[in-house]
Amino acid sequence: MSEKQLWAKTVQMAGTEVSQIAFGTEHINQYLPEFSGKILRDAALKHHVFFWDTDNCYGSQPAVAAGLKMLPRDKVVVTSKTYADSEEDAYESVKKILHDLDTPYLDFCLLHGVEKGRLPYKKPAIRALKQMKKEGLLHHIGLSTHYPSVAWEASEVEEIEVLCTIFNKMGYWLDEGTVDQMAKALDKAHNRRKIGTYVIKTLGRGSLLKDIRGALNWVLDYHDFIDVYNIGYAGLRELRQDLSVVNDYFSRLEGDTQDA
Amino acid sequence: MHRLLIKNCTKATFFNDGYNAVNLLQGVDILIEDHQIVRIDRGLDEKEAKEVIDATGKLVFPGLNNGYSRCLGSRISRMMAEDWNYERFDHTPLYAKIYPLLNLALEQLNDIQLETILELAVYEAANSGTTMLMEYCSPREVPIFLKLCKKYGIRAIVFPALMSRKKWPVVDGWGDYDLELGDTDEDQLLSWNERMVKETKGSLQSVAVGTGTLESTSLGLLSKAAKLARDQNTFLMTGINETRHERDTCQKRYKKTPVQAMEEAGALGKNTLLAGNVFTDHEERLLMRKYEAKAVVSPLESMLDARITPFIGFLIDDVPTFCGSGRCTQDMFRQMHALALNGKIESKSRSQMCAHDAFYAATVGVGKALELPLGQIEEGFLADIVIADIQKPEHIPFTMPVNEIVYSLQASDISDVIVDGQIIKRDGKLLHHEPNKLIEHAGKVLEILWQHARDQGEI
Repeated sequence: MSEKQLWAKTVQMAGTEVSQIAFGTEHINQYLPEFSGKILRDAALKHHVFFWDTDNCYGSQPAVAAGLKMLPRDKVVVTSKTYADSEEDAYESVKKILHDLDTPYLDFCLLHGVEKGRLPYKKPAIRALKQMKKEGLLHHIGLSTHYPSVAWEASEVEEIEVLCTIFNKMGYWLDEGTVDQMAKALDKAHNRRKIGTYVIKTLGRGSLLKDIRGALNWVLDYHDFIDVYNIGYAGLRELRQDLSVVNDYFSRLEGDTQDA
Repeated sequence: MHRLLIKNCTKATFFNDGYNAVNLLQGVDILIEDHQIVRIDRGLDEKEAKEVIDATGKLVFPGLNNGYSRCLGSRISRMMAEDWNYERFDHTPLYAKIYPLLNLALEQLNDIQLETILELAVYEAANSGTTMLMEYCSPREVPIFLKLCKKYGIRAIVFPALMSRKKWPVVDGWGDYDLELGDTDEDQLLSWNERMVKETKGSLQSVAVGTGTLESTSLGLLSKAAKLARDQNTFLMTGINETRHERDTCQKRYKKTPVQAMEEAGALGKNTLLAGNVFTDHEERLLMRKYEAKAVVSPLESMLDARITPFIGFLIDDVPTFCGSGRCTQDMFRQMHALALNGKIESKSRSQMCAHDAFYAATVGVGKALELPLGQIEEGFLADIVIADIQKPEHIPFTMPVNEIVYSLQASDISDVIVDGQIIKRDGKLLHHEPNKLIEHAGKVLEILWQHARDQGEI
């Protein structure tokens, strides 16, 4: 694999520069934080994967915290998430996240795993996040969901700047909807409402590992409305493999475009 | 108010409600106030505590819970039950070796002598980081066991195996099983159990309700015991599906599988703990799930009998399941290790069963099943904590704490044990206990037992 293949592109998402590949940190929670922090550091330094995705429940915040100490803070973009509904819970949640990450701010804070019919109940939490954004505790507000209906509705919420959804070839982990419906929701968010979009579980949380290239290429075919591809890794070996597939795809695309 | 501070440790625990979400923190302090963990953070002031344990370079994790111990049986049949050919006796040493020796010990030894043997097991448990024993034993052992756990400072829930017969069921050399029921005063047994539950309620060492298996217990007794447990708002533990012989007996007597018979007796419920489970099938597991009953498995015991316990099956069928030692060593590191290997072989997959699953089954899985704030190192939880010394060549490189706990740590690595906020082991030594004296006394008692066993042809 060439150096170019192993260097993630930079893209814009909600006005922030991020790496086109995000490091989903759920699977590195088993290592000592210092050990996994170095994996994240090297993902950023050697492969330009400086967008790290974590959460209050994955157990990987200590790893991200360790990684953040190894790099200048403004060279890393971090997402975390909250399940809060109420204003009070949202404040508590973000306060805990910032404490656990040992950082003064969060780049993206997402409402985590919003379920069908629950979006209206998130209004108080959104109010709180908006206030915290004004205070500089977080830079952008977003939403993650497994439900195409929620992804569709999220575009109507003024405060939502980033949409994070399940998206893979077989629709694994999708709730009450089809891949097609999710694609439409992402298209609406990205192209009509100009919301940043990133997709998760692109390899079906391991179920599509038998054909990584096929699974990733399928997702990449929807690049017109996806900014970032968040892939869960247990280490740099997997990251390098997936990065080469993604970069290969876009190189071929550029080549085709140029030929045309 | 007693305050204990653990300084500068590497902490490994499950957290929140996240199954398999492990929280690993390095260089962190843990403040304990009386029974509870009250603060976890970095840089806590030592002046806040009366006592400080420097855990620099050490791994700290929740105390291990033994969900099904059988201390007396495990001691007197120790090593002697293994590796023999028991094909004639359903491939298990239970009826041919363990129960005969148990019956002999209970007949021939006095309370002080029984206490000496039981103390060997409790010593092993405390020394190896077990902070709670859920002991399943004969009624006679109950007060002795409570006294020992209090002496060692271990948390305990004791389940007396109330039976419709005086002795544990045995088989003779010709293959004839002694399974007669009916020579006990069941109401007297229940009345005694009720008294023990009431007397010990709320204590660190308490009694719940228990029955023998369906081979040794009538449905009537089972039904009354279940009612007693419900009325007293406590748990009922029954041995179940440990042997195929038990299932066959149940089928002959009641035309049902053991779990179905439990259902008929009205003994399945949220407070029911079914222990053993080598032969619990899918239909029975669904029945357990329907009634929110819990399962305890003893993987080392079943693997020594060349069997696999359906632990993954229980998880797939959504039955809360945790781990106990059964007739084997009280060392829960060996049990967790066996559970992990059992699960991998059962699922034929190296990744479907992980160290985390075994660690869960010996820590927070028990806490959740008993609805107690136990098994996690989080603020608000009971302070049952183990501290292990990992600065040894055999633990280097040290990168994955939970894998280290399940696949590598041993009892000899445990430097400190805290139960309910009290230190019971410090710097590698159990406090206030002299193993040499215990070994000397136990040797004498066991020789008395072996003589009886030789006299009666049990060894």
